Amino acid sequence: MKSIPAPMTLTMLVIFTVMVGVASTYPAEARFMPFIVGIPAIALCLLQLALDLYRRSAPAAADDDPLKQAEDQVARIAGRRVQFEMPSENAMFTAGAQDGPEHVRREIIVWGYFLGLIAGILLLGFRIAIPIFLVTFLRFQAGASWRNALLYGGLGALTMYLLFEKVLRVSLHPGFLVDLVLGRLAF
Amino acid sequence: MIEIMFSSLTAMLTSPHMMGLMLLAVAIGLVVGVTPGIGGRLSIALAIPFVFGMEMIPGAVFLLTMHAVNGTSGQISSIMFGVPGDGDDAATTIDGYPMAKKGEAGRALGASVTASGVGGIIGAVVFAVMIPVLEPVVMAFSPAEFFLLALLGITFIAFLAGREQIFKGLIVGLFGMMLATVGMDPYTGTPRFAGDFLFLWDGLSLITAVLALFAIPEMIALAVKGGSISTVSLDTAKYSYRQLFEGVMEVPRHWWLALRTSIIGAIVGMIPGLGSSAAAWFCYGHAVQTSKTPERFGHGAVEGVIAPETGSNAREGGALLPTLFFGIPASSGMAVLMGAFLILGIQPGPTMLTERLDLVWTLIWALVIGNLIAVTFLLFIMRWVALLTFVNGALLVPFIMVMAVVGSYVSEGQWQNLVVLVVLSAIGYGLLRFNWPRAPFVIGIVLGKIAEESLHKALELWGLRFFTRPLSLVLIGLIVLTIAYAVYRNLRPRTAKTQQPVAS
Repeated sequence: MKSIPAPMTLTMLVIFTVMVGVASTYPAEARFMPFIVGIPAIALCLLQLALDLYRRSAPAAADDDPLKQAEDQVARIAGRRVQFEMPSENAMFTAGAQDGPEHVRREIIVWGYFLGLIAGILLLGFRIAIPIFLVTFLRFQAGASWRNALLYGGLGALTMYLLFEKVLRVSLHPGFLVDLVLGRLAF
Repeated sequence: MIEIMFSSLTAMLTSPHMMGLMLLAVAIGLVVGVTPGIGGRLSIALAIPFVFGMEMIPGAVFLLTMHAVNGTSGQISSIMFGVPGDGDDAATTIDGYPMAKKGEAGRALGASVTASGVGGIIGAVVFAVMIPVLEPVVMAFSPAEFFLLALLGITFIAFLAGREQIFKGLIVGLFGMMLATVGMDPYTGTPRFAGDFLFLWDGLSLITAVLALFAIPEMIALAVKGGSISTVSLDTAKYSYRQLFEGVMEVPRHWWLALRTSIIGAIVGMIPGLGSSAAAWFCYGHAVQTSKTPERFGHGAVEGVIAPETGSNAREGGALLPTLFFGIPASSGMAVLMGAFLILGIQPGPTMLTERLDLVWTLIWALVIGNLIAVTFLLFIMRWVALLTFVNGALLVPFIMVMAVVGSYVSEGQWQNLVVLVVLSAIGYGLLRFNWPRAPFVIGIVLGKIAEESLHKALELWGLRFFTRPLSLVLIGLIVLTIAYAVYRNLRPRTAKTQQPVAS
């Protein structure tokens, strides 16, 4: 399956087009700034889209080795060539694959955790959702043992509760479901 | 000015509250710098909710100190394991790691930490020296020019992503400006892009936007990547305090190089768009260029550690200058810092010179004192701080994610911000995933409102003639030149590269 070309450029183009379209219904003074910003942005998106498509069809650059690029950079500044000795595990000078199915699978899982946290907070509130999220993430995603996950997760949640609710006196969202259940129980 | 200079220092040194905050900021900054996966920008973004209720000066000092000392501990993993924490530390790795492999880790660390501190202090001095020089230039800007200055800021900061990505940078910057228009229009009372959602009528929460664009995407990426950065044995990290002291003494031994590279670093820092690692690489290149024995570089030359470290830390002092006086952050870290300053009520611009010189001097002193504290701390506790590089990044992710989510909620106490956080995080992650710059977004969203006000004011005062004012013409010229250069860079090298194989 072929991937969508320039996904971010298209996303931005859609966002700006919709926003400019919506702004066109506003009074002249209110739409002034969205137009001043949005119309050039649409033009830039189209330009970037053309560049993306051009680069997609053009052959890959000859030398993208980051270590070689760093050596070239120093040679340009110093006028002398320096040979670098880099360990193979040096993340800064090695490029990792980002499009493999395993990478995408992991992305979906982590996004699932994040969305789960937000949904949990909205429905169950911070007090319930945070410890559940911390323990689950630590155990299943970070690979901590049950004991450590419960310990660190519990301590983390307790710290958050003490810091925000007790020290900073912030009233955290109680959760719609919790509110509903407590409301029903009150009857 | 002399009076303000010293009164700011006295006020800072005699305030236990300020000194306590600085100590805390140094400690957090050093830990964040050495911990895998948490960069300087992210730490500022996460700290914003905590400084929200603070007074302006202590809040600004806390954030700047934390940001300034970040790089001081960042090179520990570069030297010990050959794995730089971020782009700034990559140049230090070139000679620092070979030194560690030769059993000179302590010497390299001593030299790098001291050089870092010296660079940070000289950078602050260069900034201070430039104040009277730049005063007439800064004062020439009227509030009306802010609109063009905001556009120029976005154009320059777009360069941070690399000259070939300037269009992407501009698009992201304009996206930030567009989001700044969300909410009630001050002139007509129209709720723009807000519909019936009352929580949007006051505009998007800046804290939520910054956390969504920086914190959440970074954490998701770190969780996807997984693991600690150190796959190297802890044996490399063994060194004696004597070695460390020898390293410290290398800096005064190479004082002329340290001074030159600090000044270079500070000047590079003042130029928006040169990129965060440019100062370090420039200084490394300068050290190679001026060495009588350049063949030692790349194999463990101590000058190869001193030069990039002084340069990259001196950059912070230089970068503060356009950030504070022109509202143009010179680096992505400064962009987030500027967003935080605006939240604290600090309005960058010429008024910083006329009305808030006390704050300017306090920030300069914060750089100096923060660096001194950081160097002293690190020389004693480096051995233990280094262990943090072994922390599994995946263990930190859930805690930082929770902090970001709580921070977003606390900023306005509205659950709807969590929904905004999800939407903007998806866009932020897309930008990160497809290698789009994110720093211009912060400039766009923080300067958007000011830019709109300035534009309306300027048009009311001068009409369209505003664009033909001499200073406006200079700014327009700079914007056009920058974009034209980007167009040239975008097309020229690709053509050369792609034509080469055909020709051969």
